[in-house]
Amino acid sequence: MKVKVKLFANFRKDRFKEKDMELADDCTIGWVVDHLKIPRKELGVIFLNGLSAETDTVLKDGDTLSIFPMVGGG
Amino acid sequence: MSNENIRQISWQDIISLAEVRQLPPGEIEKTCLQKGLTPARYLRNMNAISRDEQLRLLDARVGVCGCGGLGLYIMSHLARMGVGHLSVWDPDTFSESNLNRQLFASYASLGQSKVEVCRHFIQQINPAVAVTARKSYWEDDRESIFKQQQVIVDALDNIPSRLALAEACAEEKIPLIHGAVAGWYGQITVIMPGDKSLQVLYGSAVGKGIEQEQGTLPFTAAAIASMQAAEVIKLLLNRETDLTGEICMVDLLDLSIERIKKTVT
Repeated sequence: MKVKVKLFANFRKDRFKEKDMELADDCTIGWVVDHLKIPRKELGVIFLNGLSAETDTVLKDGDTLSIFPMVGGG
Repeated sequence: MSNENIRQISWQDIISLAEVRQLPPGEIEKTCLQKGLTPARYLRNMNAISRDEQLRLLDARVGVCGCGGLGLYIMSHLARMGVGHLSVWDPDTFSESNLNRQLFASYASLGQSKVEVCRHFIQQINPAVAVTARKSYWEDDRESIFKQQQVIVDALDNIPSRLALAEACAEEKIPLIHGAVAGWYGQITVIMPGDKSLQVLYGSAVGKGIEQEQGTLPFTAAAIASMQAAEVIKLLLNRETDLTGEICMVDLLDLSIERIKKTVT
């Protein structure tokens, strides 16, 4: 299946801004995060097709996944 | 009306009137505005906001939690806009690592209370603004000054405190303007009572975010603080804002702004 993955802020560094990824069926958001070597402790909000989602959510063909880092400084 | 043709009154004349009438300068400013006379210091606020709106700002009460990279710029912006009553909380003193980004931080202010230095500069900028500077945590005034604010600004620097602040604002039904920064990136949203978007943003996170690794740059803090101040003014003046329904993610490196619709409120 094909999923559009969008990365934000420092997650783009040495990765990409947006990419159509070919993934195995039953692939979870957490698998994509780990595959891209995004540290889980840096993970902020995740949106799947515009709705907030968790790492154990299973992806479907045609999904758009947006991954943001945790930003908390002031 | 052209900005240049507005009838105006100087600060010197306001001070003289305040002395004669034994009233605070802020009260004289209000009377002037009511009579169609604009204090010169607010001339360039016209006509982006109306004279009546300026008058409303002079009566407004805003609380700023955190007096660092974000909070100091926010305090400066709100004082220059003429928000009449500002409260600010922060137990910290200035340290050398603040010098890269924090307004009013200087070698002369190292070791001094941030809120006291802030109050000093705000009084230089706009003496008519009443500043309550609290060298403590906002929680210490939870049952007093905190509850009296019309709007609260989240300018804190760690996630658990931000979540606790959001909870307190929800309980008191006070709108909260959230802003956070890390490196070249920042985020901002407006949280009205009942909106759980901060919990969505942070989940059950403890401690800090990517700012631990990315640091905090001066222009990012200034940019996000400016956006927060603008949202405060919009709320106080009942102007419409999309940020009650959206989270705005700002990337100054890629010059992109992502506006995400809130799906859980």
